Amino acid sequence: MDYFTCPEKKPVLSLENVSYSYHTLSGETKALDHLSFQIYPGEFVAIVGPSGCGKSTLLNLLAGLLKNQSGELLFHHEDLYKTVHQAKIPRIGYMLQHDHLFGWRTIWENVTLGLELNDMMTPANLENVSALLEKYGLDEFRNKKPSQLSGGMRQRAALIRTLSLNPEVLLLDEPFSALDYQTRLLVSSDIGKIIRENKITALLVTHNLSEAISLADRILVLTRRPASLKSQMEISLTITDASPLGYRSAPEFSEYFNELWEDLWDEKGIG
Amino acid sequence: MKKELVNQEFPLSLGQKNYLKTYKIHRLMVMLSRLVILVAFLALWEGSVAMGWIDSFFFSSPSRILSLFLNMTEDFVIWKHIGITLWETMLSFLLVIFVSIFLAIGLILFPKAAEVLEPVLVVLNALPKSALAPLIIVWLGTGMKTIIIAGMSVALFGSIINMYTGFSQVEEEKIKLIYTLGGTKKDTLTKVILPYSVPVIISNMKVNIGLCLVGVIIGEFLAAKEGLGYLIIYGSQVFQLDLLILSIIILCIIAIALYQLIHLLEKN
Repeated sequence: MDYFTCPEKKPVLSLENVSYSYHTLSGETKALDHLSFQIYPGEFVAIVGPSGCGKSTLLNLLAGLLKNQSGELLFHHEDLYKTVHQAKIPRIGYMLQHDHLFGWRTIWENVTLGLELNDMMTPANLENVSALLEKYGLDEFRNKKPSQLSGGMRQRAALIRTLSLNPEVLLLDEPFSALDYQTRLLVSSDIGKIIRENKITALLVTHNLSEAISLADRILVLTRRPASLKSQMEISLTITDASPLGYRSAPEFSEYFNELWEDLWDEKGIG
Repeated sequence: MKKELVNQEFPLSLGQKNYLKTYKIHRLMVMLSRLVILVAFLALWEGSVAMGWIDSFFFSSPSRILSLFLNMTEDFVIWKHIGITLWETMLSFLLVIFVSIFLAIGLILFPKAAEVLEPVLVVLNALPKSALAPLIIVWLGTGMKTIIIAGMSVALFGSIINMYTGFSQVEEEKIKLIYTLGGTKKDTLTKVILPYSVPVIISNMKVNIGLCLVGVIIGEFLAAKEGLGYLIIYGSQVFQLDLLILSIIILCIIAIALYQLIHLLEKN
């Protein structure tokens, strides 16, 4: 999947010299500086960078929660902010760092929240959510409250909530960082599988290099703040065992890891 | 605590049995001690009057208060006064809750208005609210409406501030979630802020029910011909201390009952 050498493919998301600054009384903070990259349909792209490099700003821009100040930010060749705000149904899903399942709602009420907000509680859509719950082992918990589920199950429920709206693109903001190490390995590979099965274009922000290598087709490395693109790397692992440990034992794994580490080391202060 | 005892699995181990036994004895001792103190206090009071150590004209006595109460229940007079005070308190309480939730929602939805109005709310909340009662009487005259407004005036401003603070403590990320799922500003209110704030609203209710009672009594002191506040003022003016103390005791019971009512609501 050598996307960035085949320019005839049309990108889903395209950034061209995007810059973003925050203004406060004590001065201006540049978060993004002439950042350019493209994401192509069906790709799973991971973004790594030093902590505080402006990754959250980037995701908020891509989700249409912030309006871009300069440069071009396109979703299918149209201005992203405008498209997101004119769309009746969100086409870009966003999975936040924490599951944020609501304690006063059951799992079923939580995963159908997106449908509820968009007046899409049709039998077909509900059936679809039901099927997702069943497929990913949460069916028997549909009437439970979030506090009765493990961290991994909650994260899966949060993903189903996002998938219920059939997003074309999925943004993931370190969605595994709140989990303990073992759960993190399992859930990240689960969620990677779910995303691939549903053929969703995904953009994952993470601090965890192994996670990025084992999940992504391509990794973008950002510079320290203000963030611009430092380098990018195509990942292709020759593995037979598609498990978290399997990925990590692929022969190329440590090469990728070292290369990424050096890129980040240049930027000083990996998170 | 009771719930835990019921939910125990059987058979219990010896250690657990001993623990439960000790716990029950402890609870019993506490209850008994409280009862003993109450009875001793009443006996001392009654005895001191009977022995002539204190003057029943100023200090009344448990037996005099009880007989007055029984007298007043015969012709339903006391129930009428209790009923009026309760009615005024409940009305002003409900109005405070509705008005403060409504205004706090307004402040949340219009942050600029909140910023502009902040000093007004702070000043009104810092003011000793009883100072407003005479003003309210001049404006509205005497009567139930005045007393309900007086009750509200004590609780309202603090309640608005507390509700608003509670509403604004909802995590930013939870609100962001609603937007990422295609929700609107209204959705953030109905799907997140209000359900998330139910505990805040209930703890506010607990404080406000007491404050409304205070406000109603102040109002009745100044502008009523009925109600427990009126009975207290009347009792003090005609030196009928039996009546005065009886009214205070009834107020204590009402205050506890109202608090328990909200507590019950919280549990369900």
